[in-house]
Amino acid sequence: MRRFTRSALLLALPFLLYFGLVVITDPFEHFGIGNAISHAQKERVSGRLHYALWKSHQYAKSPTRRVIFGDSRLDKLPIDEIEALTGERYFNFSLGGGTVAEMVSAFWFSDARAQLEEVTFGISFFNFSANENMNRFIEAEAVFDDRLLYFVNRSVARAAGQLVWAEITSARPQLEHPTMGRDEFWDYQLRVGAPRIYGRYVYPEAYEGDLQRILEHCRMRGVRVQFVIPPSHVDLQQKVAEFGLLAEQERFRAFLRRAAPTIDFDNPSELTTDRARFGDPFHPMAYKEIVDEVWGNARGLAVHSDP
Amino acid sequence: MSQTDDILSRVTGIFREELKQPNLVVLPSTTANDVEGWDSLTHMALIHMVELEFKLKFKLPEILKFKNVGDMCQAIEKRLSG
Amino acid sequence: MQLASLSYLLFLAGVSAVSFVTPARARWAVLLVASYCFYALLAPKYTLLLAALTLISWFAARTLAARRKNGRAHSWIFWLAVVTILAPLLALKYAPFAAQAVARVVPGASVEDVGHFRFLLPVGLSFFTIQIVGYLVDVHQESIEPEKHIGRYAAFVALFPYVTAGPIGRSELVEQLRHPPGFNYERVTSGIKLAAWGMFKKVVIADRLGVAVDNVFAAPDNYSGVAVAFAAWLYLFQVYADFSGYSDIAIGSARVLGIELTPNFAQPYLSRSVGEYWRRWHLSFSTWLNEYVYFPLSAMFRRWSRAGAIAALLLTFFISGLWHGAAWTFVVFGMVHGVALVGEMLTNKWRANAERRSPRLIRALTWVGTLTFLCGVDVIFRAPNLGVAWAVYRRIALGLIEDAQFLTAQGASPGAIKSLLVGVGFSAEELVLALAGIALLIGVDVLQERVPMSQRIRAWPGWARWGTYYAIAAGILFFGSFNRNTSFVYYQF
Repeated sequence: MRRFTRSALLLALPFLLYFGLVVITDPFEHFGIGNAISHAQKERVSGRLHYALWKSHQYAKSPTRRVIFGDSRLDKLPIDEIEALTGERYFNFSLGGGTVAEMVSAFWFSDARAQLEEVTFGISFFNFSANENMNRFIEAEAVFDDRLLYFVNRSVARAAGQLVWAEITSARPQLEHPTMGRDEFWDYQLRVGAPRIYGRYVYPEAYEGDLQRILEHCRMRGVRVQFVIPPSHVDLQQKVAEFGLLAEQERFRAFLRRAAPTIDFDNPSELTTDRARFGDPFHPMAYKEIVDEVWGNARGLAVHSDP
Repeated sequence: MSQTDDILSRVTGIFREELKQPNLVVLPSTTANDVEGWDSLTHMALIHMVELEFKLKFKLPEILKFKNVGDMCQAIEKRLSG
Repeated sequence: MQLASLSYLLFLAGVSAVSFVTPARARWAVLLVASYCFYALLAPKYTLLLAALTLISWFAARTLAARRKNGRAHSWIFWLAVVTILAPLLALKYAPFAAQAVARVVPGASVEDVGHFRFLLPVGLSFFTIQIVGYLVDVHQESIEPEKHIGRYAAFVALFPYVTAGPIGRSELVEQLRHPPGFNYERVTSGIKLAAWGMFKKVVIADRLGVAVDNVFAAPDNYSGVAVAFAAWLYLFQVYADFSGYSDIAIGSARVLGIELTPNFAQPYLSRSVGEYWRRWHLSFSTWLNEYVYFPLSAMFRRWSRAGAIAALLLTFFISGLWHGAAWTFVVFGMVHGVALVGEMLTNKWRANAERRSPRLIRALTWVGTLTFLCGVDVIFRAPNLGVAWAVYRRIALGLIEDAQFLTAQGASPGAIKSLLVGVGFSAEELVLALAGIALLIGVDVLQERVPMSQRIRAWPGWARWGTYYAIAAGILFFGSFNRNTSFVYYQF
């Protein structure tokens, strides 16, 4: 029995030491007790490693009644400008590479923690595909459902490692640096990125159902819902016709317009024809203009519709 | 020829005919592993031919106890004597 | 409580600890109480059913043995007991299926007319029912003496490592419950290591593969031919990792408690024929089928010689298919295997001659051919109905042609190849992990075929052994798909 106990302790020891490290570093601020590493540093590392896990923790710490759900296009919206325009607190739940599945999960996560007043969904036609079904939020939900899972989450392990390394070496963590030049990347997105999505496009009836459920829920509770179709460059807009998906795109637009107030930027305009205002065909940089038109009184860049 | 030898000889004849191996040698220790063609498809057929030859009918528990040809021959001898 | 869960590990640890400090002659009681608590947590409504079937079979076995000893008629007790034991399984699992099948052919009857059974199938019913039937047959055929001690017999039927999904316990197991041994370092650690490997296979390999399989089988027409074919192959390994993983947890747990169960798998994907596969896959069940179904049937049909044996084999596989589930997919699955087996047996000589002429080529071809056959038939097993199975086959056939045309047009660019797997559910990292898992699964089996892995590992230096233990533990903790709501593939049988 002594031999068994010794072996069991020997097996457990490295894991126990690691769990201690997780408590001390607390990469995603799960416990909220560790101050060994700054919030800013954690945001730089953990926030980039796992958007859903980071943002869910930030929201849970300080829930707001107005939330934005979207992908990398809305991720960089200046929240302080929205708050200045509206006088209300907002949380941006947009995730880089976000899918509608993740937006739906993020909605229910938020709804469980706050009495929501307004929700904004930033959905493009290329998000709205059955094959865009990744859901990193499941992992975040699991960690909240069973707090022990935080200790064995791989993203937590990675973040803890990188944070400790950064502290030791005082190096600034480098994550997500594109390796191509701007024009090369522009071309790559059109040549590879677009076919990856439009080549296997399947209209997502399931997403329609998910959004309908959200709309019904919001209607019953008096929560204001709005849809924003973020702008993409006309080079990308043309791909829809190229892949013979105009009918599906119209179906998508009609669904949103019927469901809730919709602000559709994804049309030819002075914004979407201007390459300088885009990082790549998918990603606009005109954040202020988007904010002014969605939450302010500016008009002209988008088509506004009410059901 | 003793009854035991006679039974073994007749069983050998049945095996040779059923498995189409005219030179097959069958010993009391012979099992299915030792004989090509003696598999689960032919096993019961062999037993049936043996039953016809000796005009008897084995019960299932008896068949289950046959570990080799020798066990079967002993069962036959027991039936013929009793 | 799922077997691949932390709560089960804690439960096993607790029960083991109590068992070890209990005197040997009373350990059966610890195992019995623990097993009933385990079952009651899983299926409280059906604990009484488990107890009732246990009591009935124990009493029937003792009565028929006593009557046989006194020279009185006893076969009727055996048959009455078997029918009674099988009745709940037939009623709860097969009656609705049979009723629907009948309703389809009886003119005028609609499916709704036939009884609606609202019972959820009791966990483990298919397993412990046939275990009890096997026991009754063995007593009836005088292979074993009936167990006099009701408590030990009840523990044999309900033992928690295997009550939910096997391995099906052989009747001789009751003997082991007379004096289960206490703590022994080698035995206990051997059991823990086996259970850990089983857990690894289940939560790291099987569940990971299951993500993609579930996505594709839910809507095969949404995917490319390559994606659907890929998912079919993934399922072949998912079902093996899942079921053998579960079995290893069960066998490992039982070993910790001092009960030695027979292995349930013997490197099945190294098979070079369907016959060989059934001698390596789900051994406790295929042995049970052979002894208690095929053998008696072939004996009954022996007057029809070879044709009788073929009929017995096909009927056995029909029953085997049906045992897996009350649905046409399982019936077709069983029958396809039965027909393939008959075909192999009828062509045995020809195949043996071909192998003698070109051993390496034939061995390679038969191995690939067998795996491909298994993969293809497993599609039927996995599909929720025959329509989906057909959709999968159709999508593979048509889709592969489309994909070839697509790749030719796109110049087989990386983006084009990637696009063929869009929506399947794997990130690049997950795909690598999935493929690595399959390689590990097969690699271990290839090694195990020559020398058992446990023996190999014992011969390694300390750092290599401990490195392996840490790797398995870390794998389970960090790569386990704990965020999925998992259950064993064979769970609902």
